[in-house]
Amino acid sequence: MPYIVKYALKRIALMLVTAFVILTLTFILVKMLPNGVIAGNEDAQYAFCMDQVGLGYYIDSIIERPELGNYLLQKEVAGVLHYFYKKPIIEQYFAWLSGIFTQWNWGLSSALQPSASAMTIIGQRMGPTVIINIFTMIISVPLGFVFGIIAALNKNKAPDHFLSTLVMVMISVPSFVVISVLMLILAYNTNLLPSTWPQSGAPIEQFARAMVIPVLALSFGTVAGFTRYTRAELTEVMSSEFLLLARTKGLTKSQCIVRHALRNSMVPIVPMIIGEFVGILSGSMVLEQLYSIPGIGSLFVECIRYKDWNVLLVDMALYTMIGLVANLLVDLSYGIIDPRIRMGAKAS
Amino acid sequence: MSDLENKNLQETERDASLVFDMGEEGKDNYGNSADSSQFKFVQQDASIHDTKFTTKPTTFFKDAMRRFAKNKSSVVGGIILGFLFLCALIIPMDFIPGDIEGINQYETNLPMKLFAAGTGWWDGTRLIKNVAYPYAVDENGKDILDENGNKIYIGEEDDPASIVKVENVRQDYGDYAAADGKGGYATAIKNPAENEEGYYFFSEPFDFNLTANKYNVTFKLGTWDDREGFATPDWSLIIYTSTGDIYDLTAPTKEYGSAEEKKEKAYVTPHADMTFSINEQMETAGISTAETGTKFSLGFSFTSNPDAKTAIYIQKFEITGTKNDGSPLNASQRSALRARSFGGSNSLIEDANELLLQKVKKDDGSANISYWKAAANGGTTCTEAFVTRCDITYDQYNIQYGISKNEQISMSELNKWINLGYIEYDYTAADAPSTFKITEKGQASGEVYVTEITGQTETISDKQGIIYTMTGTIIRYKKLGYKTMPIHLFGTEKDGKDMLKYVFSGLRTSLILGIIVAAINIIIGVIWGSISGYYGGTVDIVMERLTDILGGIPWIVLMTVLTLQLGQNFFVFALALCLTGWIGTSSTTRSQFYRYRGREYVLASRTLGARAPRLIFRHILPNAVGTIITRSILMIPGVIFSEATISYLGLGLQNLDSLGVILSDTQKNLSVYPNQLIIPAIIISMLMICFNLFGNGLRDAFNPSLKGQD
Repeated sequence: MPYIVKYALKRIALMLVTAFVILTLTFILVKMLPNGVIAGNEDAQYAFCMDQVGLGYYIDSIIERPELGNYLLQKEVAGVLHYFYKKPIIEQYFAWLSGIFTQWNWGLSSALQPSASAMTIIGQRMGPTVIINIFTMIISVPLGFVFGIIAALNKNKAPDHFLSTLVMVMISVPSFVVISVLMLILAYNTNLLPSTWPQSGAPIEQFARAMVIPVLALSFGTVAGFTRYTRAELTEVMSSEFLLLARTKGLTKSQCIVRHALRNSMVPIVPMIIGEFVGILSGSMVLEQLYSIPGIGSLFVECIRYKDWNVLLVDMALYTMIGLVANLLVDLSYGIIDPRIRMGAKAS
Repeated sequence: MSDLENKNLQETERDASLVFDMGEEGKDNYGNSADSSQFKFVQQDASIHDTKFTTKPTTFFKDAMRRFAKNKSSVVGGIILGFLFLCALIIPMDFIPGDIEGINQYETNLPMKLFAAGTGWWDGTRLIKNVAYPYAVDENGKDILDENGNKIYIGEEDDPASIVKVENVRQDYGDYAAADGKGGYATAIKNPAENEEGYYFFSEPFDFNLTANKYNVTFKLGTWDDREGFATPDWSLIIYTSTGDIYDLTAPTKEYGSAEEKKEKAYVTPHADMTFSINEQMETAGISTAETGTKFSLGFSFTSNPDAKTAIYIQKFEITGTKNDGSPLNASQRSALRARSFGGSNSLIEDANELLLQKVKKDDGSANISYWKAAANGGTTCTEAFVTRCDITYDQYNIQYGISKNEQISMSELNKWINLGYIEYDYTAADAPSTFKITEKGQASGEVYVTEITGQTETISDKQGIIYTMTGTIIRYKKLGYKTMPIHLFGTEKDGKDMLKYVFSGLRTSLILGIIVAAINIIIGVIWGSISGYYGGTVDIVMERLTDILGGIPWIVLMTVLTLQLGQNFFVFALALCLTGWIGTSSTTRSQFYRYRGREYVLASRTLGARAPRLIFRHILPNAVGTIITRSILMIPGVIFSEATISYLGLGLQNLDSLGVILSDTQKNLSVYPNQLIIPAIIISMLMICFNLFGNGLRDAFNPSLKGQD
């Protein structure tokens, strides 16, 4: 078996174990939280409780069982009084696991959209987040790349100093400050752009206009990150001996840069793009909240506000997986793109 | 000593004995061998010592310091950082003026002030666009001047001096249901509704003397036939009695009189004046004066199909009267009638807009009366009111801290000053308010905040006798306990907290959190990384897997769960940030240990009998000290950033102001009071930039080989 496959399998296995442990901990901690009020009218509440019984989280009892604590709902069905209780957390946990593994059932929403499946809600919310992040990448990768090259080729000259200062500022200023300033300038003071995300069903150009501010705010830091990284990599390659050799054997400077320096500096940058692409998803959480974008980030906040723990669990699981997969992809892609790098090789 | 080394030593000794026997090599160019007696030792009798260094000895830290000082940007960053630290330490202290406790209702949302009002920048003024022109204007929009040639102030602020600048004055006709509209048409709009056929529009009741006098009513209505979706209702003139009965004076009719020509830009089609004699109409309609009682209101009833949306416009409604013999009514009756009219040139209310707002007016200073009422299930607005609008720069400090009229003043307050001899006041005098006088002593003390008393009412309580309540003009800042008008450098926020103090006390909280968390993380990380790196093998593998799993938890998930579970307080935040924050430090420490633990000097120390703790802390760890210091400095802004992020998600610290809490709180008012967000945003950005500059400078200083990798 080639080394890289073995390594990848090892990493994937480790990732799954990590994910399992984290989700278990999250489940237990979240389920220990006090329950929110079940939303909807009595019928919706009853339907929700019955679903929870089906999922194995609640107990449907026809007698009062004070040893299980306070009942969550009391409902008369066909002349019989039903009481609903929470099961002990550990039983809920195993019910949850079996639900996921046997039917891919992550539970129902209790407050946001009562009786809708948590997975459906996540699916609805993925769209805006993914679109915004894709646009951010489309803008920031080339920009960062160009700035990085300019800075590296003019190392220690005016453009480099200027760009480095800019990068330092852009990396340091938090994204929520950036979006606030953008909203202030572009939306409130000049009315050029909307100050919130439009309602669903609005014309497409409204969405396009609303996209500008969050994408700019997200790109701010990402561009700076790419610029810094590209500059660092390129300067390192530029000072290496094989480039000197290329010059001595007669290549022009531009040939050197395009054919040798850029290509070699790509090696660590490509994994970074992959990592950033996945990792940026979680970076937009606050921005979604501030710009009221109905994405998975603002969903997270809404779940906490309305105590919708089932949906919160799925959202947290999603964020956990995003983080883990990003890490894994970065590490693996290093090895794939440049076989000289052997991650996890034994320290000599 | 091993045999081999022994042998080497012997060889060396033998070599030494051969120094002057150079064999062939020792001969000169002519083949004569050199005579050893011709040579002598230069320093045979001198005792040789190392010469003293002419340069000063340096330590690792001094050297790093020297390198750091060369890096100008980092030094500047460090200085600003130090300044911010100092501010965070000093500004929240008590001797700095400014209040950040509780809610101060009179001091909310003040703008930033450093210079005197009117300077144009940072002067505590606020530009409010598109507000009513605060001076009286005539029909042509020209200022009405008083006898001294000054504009007549009719604005709503108590002190005209609060207006710093009026600009962009403009006049137009439009729909403004606001006090600043003049003239225009009163609009009554009815929405479609079940069981709602009519709606009414009527004046306050008046005692019409129908036997002695004759009354005429003249009015002008308008319609808007092409207004989309609105029908025109039938109208009739009504009597609305003080007992609540309604009588029609005229039969409901669609007849509005002949339409006049539309004015330019006008939406409403005005119709000609219509005049009815009230006495005749009552007679025709068969309503006896006995039935109506003596007091009744005049007005309109509008009826239409219940499902229709209707709109009607009234521009003029004027009641005039004469005595039966044709001689004019006496002055008081005329003025009372005018009070029930509107729209005429000489009447008390000329203004449809004012009428609709049911503006409370003082009638002879006795009671507050609103003149006209509308009962419609839609709404009443004004159309084609003549409006003068402008952009006003207000001195917000003067508005909130300055003169305030019509304030209640309690007896106890006045009595206190009377006893101190600060004021003179006589509650029992016929015109009590005019007896108010501040004595010279009172002037000198500067404590009396009342400048004028305008009214006094008395209530009789069984226990305390007569209680007087005064109304008057006060100076607000004196009442709040300030000697002079306060200045808030950065303004105040929604609870009236002084932004300067608030932001820096928030910064202090954030820095304390950052420093504590960084310190704990560094300690845990160093210990964990040292053990893992020093021992290696199975210990290392087990510890690494643990950090892998812990490091895999997104901090946002961890923090959310912990704050939800344990509460939103300082210690939970510190705990949540410490749980995974140490992993970075531990891995750098571990790699340093991997690098140094196999070095010869460590081996040497071990052979001399040093145990693990000594090797770890004396020999290996100092190598990593530069990295660790850099890391701990750079960890502080990270912690502050995390705290701010979690605040934005609504899970911030409670009952404790941190930068994050301030930012997320002021974010809500971003569109109205941007300065409240800008200040903490600038502070947090400066903090982040300076920390990064400073940290990078430190890293370059401690490890010059990394220089340039930002």
